[in-house]
Parts: sequence; C-alpha cells; structure tokens
Amino acid sequence: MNVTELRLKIRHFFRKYRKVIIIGLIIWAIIFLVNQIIMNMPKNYEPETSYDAHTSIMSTSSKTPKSMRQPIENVIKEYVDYLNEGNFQSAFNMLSDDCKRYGFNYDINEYMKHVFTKMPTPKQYAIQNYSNIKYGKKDMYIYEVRYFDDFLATGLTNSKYEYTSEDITFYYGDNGLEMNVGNYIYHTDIKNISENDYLKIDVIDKVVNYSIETYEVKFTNRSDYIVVVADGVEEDEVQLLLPNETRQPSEFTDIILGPDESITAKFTFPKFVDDGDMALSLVFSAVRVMEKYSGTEDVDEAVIQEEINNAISKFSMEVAITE
Amino acid sequence: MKKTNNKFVIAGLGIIAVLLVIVLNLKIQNKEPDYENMSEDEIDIAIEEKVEDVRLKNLAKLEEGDRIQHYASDFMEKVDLGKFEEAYNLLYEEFKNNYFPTLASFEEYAKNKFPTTMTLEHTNIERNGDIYVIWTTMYDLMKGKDAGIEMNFVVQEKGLNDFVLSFSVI
Repeated sequence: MNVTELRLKIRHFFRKYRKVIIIGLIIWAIIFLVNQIIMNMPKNYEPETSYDAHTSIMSTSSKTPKSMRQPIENVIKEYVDYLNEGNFQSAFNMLSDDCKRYGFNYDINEYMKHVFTKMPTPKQYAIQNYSNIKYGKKDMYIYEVRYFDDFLATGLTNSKYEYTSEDITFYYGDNGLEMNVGNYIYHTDIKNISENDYLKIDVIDKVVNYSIETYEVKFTNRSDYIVVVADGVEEDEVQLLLPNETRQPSEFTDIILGPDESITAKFTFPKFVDDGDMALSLVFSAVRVMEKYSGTEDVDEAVIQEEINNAISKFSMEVAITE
Repeated sequence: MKKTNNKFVIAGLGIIAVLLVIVLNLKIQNKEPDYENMSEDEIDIAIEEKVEDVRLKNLAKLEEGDRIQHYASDFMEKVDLGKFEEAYNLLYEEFKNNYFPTLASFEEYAKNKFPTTMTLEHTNIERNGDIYVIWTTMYDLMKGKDAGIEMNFVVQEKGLNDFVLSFSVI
C-alpha cells in the first residue's frame, strides 16, 4: 500500500464515520469540561462529625425515615420545653395512652417522680437514635435523650460534667406519631394459661421496657393444701425461657398460696428489647404442694427440707408467652 | 435524519460553549494573585485569604476530636499572643454575660490567670449532641505539669473553623 492509498483510506474512513466522530468529540468535550468545572469549583470545607442524630447506634445501617425526622425533633423539643416550663400536664398529655397506662398507671404524680429523677431543674437536651425495632407491624424508633445543664453557658465552672438520659420511643399509631418515655417501649396482652389439679397459672400480660420485661401472672391454688411456687429455697424457681438460654427474674416476691387462694404477681427479667431473642415461656420449676409449711424465716434448714420431702406433690409448670 | 444530526451537533456545540465560559470564569477566579501589580494592603488581604484557605484545608483533614481540641488551643493561642478581642469574640454569648460582660474584664482575667508560658494538654473529650467537652491540663512550662490546673473547655462547632466556646473559670 502506497501513501496515496493510505490517504484515500483515511479520507474514506473519516467521510464514512464523520457523524459518529463529531458526536463522539462533542460528548468527550462536554465530559472534559464538566470535569474541569468540578475540579475548579470553589471548595466548601465541611467538618466531618460523628454526630448523626437519626442513625441508630446499635446498627448504623438502621436509620429513622427522613419523613419522620423533623416531626420527631419537633415533638421532643415541645416535650422538653413543657418540662422546662414546669408544664407537666401538657408534657404528660403528649404521651401515648399505652405509656400513660402501663408506664405511669395514668398517675401524673408517678410521672412527675420520673421527670424529677431525669431533670430536676431546666435542662438542655441532645438526641440520638439508639435502636430501631419492629413490634408486630409497627416500626419503633428508640431515641436516647440526654438532659444536661447548659455547659456552654458555664464552661463547667464549679460544676461537673453530668447528664441524665432516658429512652423515648416513637412510632405511628392510631393517633399519628406516638411517643413513649421513661424507657417504656410497649405492652402486650398474653392471656395464656397452664393448669393441673393443684394450680392454675394465668400469664396476663407483658410490659416491655428497653432493658427489662415484666410479666403479670395470676396464680390460683385449686387444692386444699398450701402451694409454694417460689420462696427462694429451691434453685431456679422462676425462669424466663429464651431460644438458647434461661434467665432468672431480677425482681419478684415469694409466691405462697393458701387453699383456694389467688395471687397476682409481677416478675421482671433483664432482657434488651433489641437483642433479637424472643421469650418463649415462663417456667416455674419447683412448685410444691404441701400439707405443712412453716415458711423460711427463722426456720431450721432441716425442718424446711423435711417439709419439702414430705410434699404431696412436686412439679414444674411452663406457660407459653409467645406473642 | 440529516436535520436531526445537525440539530444535535448545534446543541452540542452550544453546550460546549456554555461550559467553556464557566470553566474560563472559574479559572480566572482561581488564578494566583498578581502580587507584582498589587498594593501592600491588597497583598496582605490576598495572603490572609491564602493562609485561611490552607488553614481550612488542614482543619478539614483533622479527625473530629483533634479538630475540636484545635479550636480550644487556637483560642488560648490568641490569648497568649495578646489578641484578646479575637479570643473574646469566640466566647459563647451567655458565657460572656455570666462571667465576662466586657472585653476589659476578660482581658484582666486572662492576664492574671493564664500563665505567660502556657501549655495545654488535652486529656479527654466527650460529645453530647453537638456540644463537645474537653478536659485539659493547663500548666506553665517553667513550673512543670505537676503545678498545672485542670480545666474544661466546652465547644460548639457550627462549621469548619466556625465555633463558639466557653471554659471553666478558675
């Protein structure tokens, strides 16, 4: 191929693909110029901060939906403003009906006791999405709200760096955006029963706080004997059964039933609402039906043991509590 | 078909022309100052802007905690250099009202309480929302760390190098 042929071929090529080449050049030029603009734009330096109020601490991939962020901030501001003004009734009115009932027994005095432990004097506050959970069909957003003095105004002069905090939960309910305070998350009716000839156990309901679950249980003695459900003598008298472990209650009173007697008691177990485990059942593993029961205080160990050995019946009962 | 192609080319060239104008404009804006043809005052302003730009660039590179501690150190440096008004302007308004209602009262305090050969050692920092609390030991280089004073700085950052602060009055 000589030079003339080569020139002809190149000319032919450019004639044939002229449009494609021109379009390609235009696109390339536009991309090049846009890139130049980006590189030469005045730089706005923004400080990087770890503070993101609406991203969960427990799982950074979990965030409050954008549409809920401002309403939540507004509600918290209104709530804290009421408390700082001492307008406790208005603050109490902002709580969900469930929270008023199960968190504070509809008692504003009980609520005010809670408020005074958290903010005895007017405070500043800061919010942080702590954890997000799903309860039934509801998405619940749990915020940690910290209350503290105006550090900036004092520079911590003659004061210590201190703050109180509580979990405030937000969700959409029948009345729009609802709010629970005082670490209260939700309540659920259970109404599961287990019974035999001696004892009927009725698990009525469950109140869930961020780090504890409290079960209300009604015991009915169906016999003419004394039924001891829990008096601290046997090990693991009351347990909460989870898929891979059991937990003992942090709070409960002795359950000793006289003939035909009914007692309603509450059992509180340590359990984080966002730990991913679902409680399966309550287990009462050392129920004793006794003809004679002398109690446990100031009673000789041998006597206690003898009475247990002479029990008419000893058994374990389990009540399912799955929601 | 040919008309469509021509329209595309004309539109493309139009876009290129607009982009070209923007690029040239940005290039002119970003052009290094012509110091030779500037007055002394203009040179001072240009250098100040350059220094500020470098400062922001460096600040933007700092980790969050280091950046906040830098603000406290920057405040104390101003005091150390006798730039009391600049330091005073960094104070949170309510803090000023509480402790230093006038610049003169702040200046008097700073001269009396802050050592002339002052060193700061920040030992801890915590964040509460957008408020940062810094624990600091302030000591006189000549007297050593053991004679130092424990104090706090409280900082609120509004933007890069845009902050207000307060400190525990000793």
